[in-house]
Formats: sequence, structure tokens, C-alpha cells
Amino acid sequence: MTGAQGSDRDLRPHLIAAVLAALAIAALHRLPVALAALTLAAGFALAARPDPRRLLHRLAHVEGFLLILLVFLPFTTPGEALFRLGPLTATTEGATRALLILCKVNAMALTLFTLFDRAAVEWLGRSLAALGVPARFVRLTELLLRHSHTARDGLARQSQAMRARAFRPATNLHTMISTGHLIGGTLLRAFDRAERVEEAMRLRGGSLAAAPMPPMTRPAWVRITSVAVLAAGFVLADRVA
Amino acid sequence: MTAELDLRAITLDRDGRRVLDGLDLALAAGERLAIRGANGAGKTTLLRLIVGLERPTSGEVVLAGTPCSSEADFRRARPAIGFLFQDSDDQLFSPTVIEDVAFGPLNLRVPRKEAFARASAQLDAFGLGHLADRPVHRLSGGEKRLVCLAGLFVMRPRVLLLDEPTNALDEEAGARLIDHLNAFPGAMLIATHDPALPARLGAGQRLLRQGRLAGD
Repeated sequence: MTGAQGSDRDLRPHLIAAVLAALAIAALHRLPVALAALTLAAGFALAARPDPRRLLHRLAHVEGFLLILLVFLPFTTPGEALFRLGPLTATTEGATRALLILCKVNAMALTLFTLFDRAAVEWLGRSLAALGVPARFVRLTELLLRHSHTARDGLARQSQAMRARAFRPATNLHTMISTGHLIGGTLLRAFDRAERVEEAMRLRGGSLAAAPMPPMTRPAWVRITSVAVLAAGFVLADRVA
Repeated sequence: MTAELDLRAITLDRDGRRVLDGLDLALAAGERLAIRGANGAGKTTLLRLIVGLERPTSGEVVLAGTPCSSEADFRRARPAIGFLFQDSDDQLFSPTVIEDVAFGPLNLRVPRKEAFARASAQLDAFGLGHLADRPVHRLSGGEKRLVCLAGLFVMRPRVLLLDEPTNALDEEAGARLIDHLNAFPGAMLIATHDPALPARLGAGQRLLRQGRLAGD
């Protein structure tokens, strides 16, 4: 959500739609239906005319996590042999399951991207509060967003300072120790800063109170309803056909 | 004699704004020069550019007679250049003081035992031996700055780049820092908006304005 355009402020429809889509996609069992969901999600994502580099960057993160699963699942799921690789046997069941997961995860990633690419993150907390999410959770979300930025800046500045002192990462103990110090130091500093922010917040009169929001607009309800219908349609197709 | 550093016709654009505009600057061995200028004049950018943390849009950075343009070029030049960051918290990252001071020598592939011995000697030379095992984030502002400087001195640089070195230090801590700096034999480039600092370091002065250096 970094570099968001910030044109969407009331994020309640997005949040509701995301939950509906997540529930439906998670419930899918059959590959053709999951494939259809992926195609539709891709269609929506492209229709929103995203910055292609940002879209690919986000998807690359997802694919990185999936890679291990895609490699190991076919060989570790029992079932009918599909092909052999030395002593290992890949099964049809395993391959199907790997593809199913690939479709579902990517469909979800594309849906989230479409919903939140242009979202103004500063409004996330307010929208969550307006949806009745408990105040503690809202505050955690908001502080997480704020502090992850400052921690990332700190990390960047420190690794520059390391380079300025002639540090060169290599496969050795010194690099491992230094990297450990870097991460530990960043966390320590982040905690310190979080405490100071907390204190400053207390001095200014207590906790973050989320500003109230007006009721959702009619177009927002229409959009939520259409997402709900689509989600229900997919689950039905998955179970009935 | 080759200059320690030589910047030739440096131009740097950032976010559509020209930060440095055809800047020339040379620093001879042992020379001390203070760059003065308002906040946002580009002093920090100028220092970062010298060690390759920032690259010019056009122009040439020559360090100890070698033109530097790639990360590999700057990597070779960096051990001879000590950069004191404006915010010590950005510079210190090890759990304890001694580890942070030993970090530089370890980067120069000095064996572990010797690196720590050197770090320890450097701290003693600064009168900071008692801080060796203290966690860096528990030091005072003045102590942090001195530990940063010790971490640079221990690498035996030929050039020091100092970014607002006395900023946020009290009178006494500032004076201690200046004493150590005055004992440094190498060249020094100081970015500061403190009008009194150049004289205390016996440094010449140039003014950075509108991306260029003016005056002597």
C-alpha cells in the first residue's frame, strides 16, 4: 500500500468486499472454478489500469512465497503417478492441488490489489473504527503502518552508514553478526521510538480517537452487493456443478 | 600532488529540483574546509555524493586521483574516507560500544582479535575506555557522537567528512569533539551552519548557495 494514490478515502466498502471475496475464494475446491475466479480477478485488476510495475512487484512477493509449495506439493501428496524425477514421483493429485492453491492465492492477491491500490492508508483506521472493529485493533493497525515506515527509513539509513564504513556483505561470520546487529538495532530503536510516540500521544490528551464517518453511500452499497452476489455465485458453482 | 578529492562540474537533480548546479570543489591532503549554507542548501547531499551514497546527474567525482562512478569504485575509496553522520543514531548500530568501534576494522579484514584490540586502544585514546561494554542506545548525545568519531578514527582515514559535527552537543561535549578533530592530521570537509565552527577548526570557508560554492 506504499505509494498509494490516496483517491479512495472511505475504505469501508473495500474492507467489506475484501472479506466477502476472501471467504468465497477460500471456500473454492475445484480447479476450473478457481481458474475462473483468477481470470475474473485479473480482468478487474487490469480494468483499473494499474501501474504495471507496481502490480508485478506485488505479485512477485506472492509468487515468492508460493514457489516452495509449488515445487514440493506434487511430490509429497499421495495419489496417481504423473511423472518421475529420479527417486521422486509427482502425483496428479499433488499437481492439481498446487495449481488450485496457485489460482486461489493469486485471485486473492489481485482482488486485494484492485481494492486497495488507490486506497488512502491514512483512512484505514477510521474506516475500521466506523465498521465497529475494536479500538485496540484499530490502533494496532494504525501504529503498525506508521512505525513500519519509520523503521524502514531507519534501516535504510543505517545500512548506508555501514556501507560508508566500508562494509561489504559476504558469506562470512562478520556479515552474519553485522546483519544481526543491524536488525536488532533497528528493532530496539523502533521500540524506543514507539515509546516516545506513545508518550507524546499521552501528553496531547490520551488515545487516538477515530473521527466518525458519514453513512456509506448508495453506490458503495451497490458495489458491495455485487461483490456479494459474485462471491455467492462462485461458491455455488464450486459446490453444485 | 593529487588532491584527496576533486569534484568537477557536479550537477545533481532530485525530484525535478536542481540541488547542485555545476559545483567544483577540490580538497588537498591535510586541508580543512568548511561548507556553510542554509538548511536544505545541499550540504549533506554534497557529502553523500563524495562517498557514493548519492550519484551526480552529471560531472565527475575523483577520489585520490581515481575517477569514481560505480559502486565498486566508491567501495575501494571508502576506507580512506570517514563520514560522520549528522544523527549519531543512524551511524551506531551494534549492541555495544566496543563492537561498533571494531566494525570498521573488521570490514577492512583485520583479524577479530586485533580489530577489538585496536577498537579498545582507540576508545582509550578518546578517554572513553569505560564505555566499551555499554549498550550504544543508552549513551548520552555527546558520548554517541564521540563513539561515532572513534569508529571512524580507528579505520585511519585520510579524509573526514563531518556533517554538522557539533549539532545538538552541549558546550563541553562540543569542545571535546573539536579537540579530537584538531588532533587529526588528514583532510577535513565540514558541513555546518554554525558560524563559529570553521575558526575553531582552523578551516577555510565556502558558502553553498543555489547549488554552487562561493567565496573564500
